[in-house]
Amino acid sequence: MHPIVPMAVITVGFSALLWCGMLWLYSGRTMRFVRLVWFGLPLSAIVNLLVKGPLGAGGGDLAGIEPGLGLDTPVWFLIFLFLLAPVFEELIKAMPAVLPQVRRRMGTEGDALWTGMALGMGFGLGEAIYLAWQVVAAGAYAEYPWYAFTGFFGERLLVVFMHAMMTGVLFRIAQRGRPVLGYLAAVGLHALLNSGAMLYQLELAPGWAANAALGVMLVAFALLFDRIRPKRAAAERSEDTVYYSSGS
Amino acid sequence: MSAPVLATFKPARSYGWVWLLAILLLVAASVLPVFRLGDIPPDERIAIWITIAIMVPLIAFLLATLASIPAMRYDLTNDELLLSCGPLYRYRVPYAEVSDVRRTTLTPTLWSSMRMPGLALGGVMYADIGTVKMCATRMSRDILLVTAGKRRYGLTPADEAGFMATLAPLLPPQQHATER
Repeated sequence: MHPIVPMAVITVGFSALLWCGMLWLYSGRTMRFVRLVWFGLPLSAIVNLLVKGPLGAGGGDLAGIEPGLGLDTPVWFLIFLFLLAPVFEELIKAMPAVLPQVRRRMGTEGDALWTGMALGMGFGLGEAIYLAWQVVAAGAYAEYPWYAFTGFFGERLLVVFMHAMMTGVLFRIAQRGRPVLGYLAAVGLHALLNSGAMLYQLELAPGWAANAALGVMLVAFALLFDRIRPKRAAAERSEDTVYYSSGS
Repeated sequence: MSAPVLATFKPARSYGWVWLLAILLLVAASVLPVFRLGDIPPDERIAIWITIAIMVPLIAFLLATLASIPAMRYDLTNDELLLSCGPLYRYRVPYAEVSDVRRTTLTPTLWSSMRMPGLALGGVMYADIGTVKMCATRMSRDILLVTAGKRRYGLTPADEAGFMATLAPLLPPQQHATER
């Protein structure tokens, strides 16, 4: 067994518990939205195998560009590669919204946020499985012990939440009747998130800078989440049992 | 010398310790590469040592917290309410400063703190009311929230009715209410 497999199991299991638990808690202790996570699970493999892979390879073939050129790659092709993930991943994450059972859950802005977050979480979890499978299939890093993949754990744990936020933002804006704006916002956030890794791959930024960019984006997403999520209604607060009040 | 304790109440039971144990194991896994230092290129070993320098104190802290959970309790003296969970978490709440006691449900934020399902310790930021000093075996639901001055404290006594019956006569004799 490839050593990334145990870490992938831990990563997917812990991420699912943590983020689905968060979704359950914040959405009002209901499984209504958590159940939608399943819809997102296969989407990463689909978009990578059927869309991004063929488009990236096909575009390179058509333009006669060899892979692995680094900074010698034409700028237009670098931008094309850079935009593949934001453009197509955000699009496919929103696709389950065509299903009536998904659309029915998007009655309010808050519900739209939870619906989008559930689909994004599913995508993020599926992406962790897909990436681990890619490593296994390539036979890479097989000489390392399983605990050498803690970087995979940490990165994927955070990225699941980030995928959830991007799709949540898309659905929340779409619920206001502006789906194109929502999509563009999600694509923009995704591009920003990937910019650190892209610069690192082009050797324009050190590895720590790419990680720092991930950390900055995590804080930004957490702030955004606290700002846009539905707050507890005053009517709910009146259900408190008051034992003592000095009236001051 | 500390004041004599009139009554002691234990917190409600929970499985919060399982979450803490899981987190502890995950953190501990991050220091495992130290056992294979020989396989790691010399220029990358510094990263392992930095990880260990951060993680070992964190592991010690998590272990101390885990060991403290069975000691969590709420003591009522003549003058104050003492919330404690081992040596790491101890809060004194003078009765004279208490202005409100209610059972409520709080909404946690994403900001880092020692809180997880079934356990909340130390300062925890909540979306509804800001930071609450927690000494509780629940994270958000049915928290007994005590407001004293500008501070708030969260607890979860197993026998809430008994706890309130003991606490209420000790509070400043103002407006007592039990309403829903």
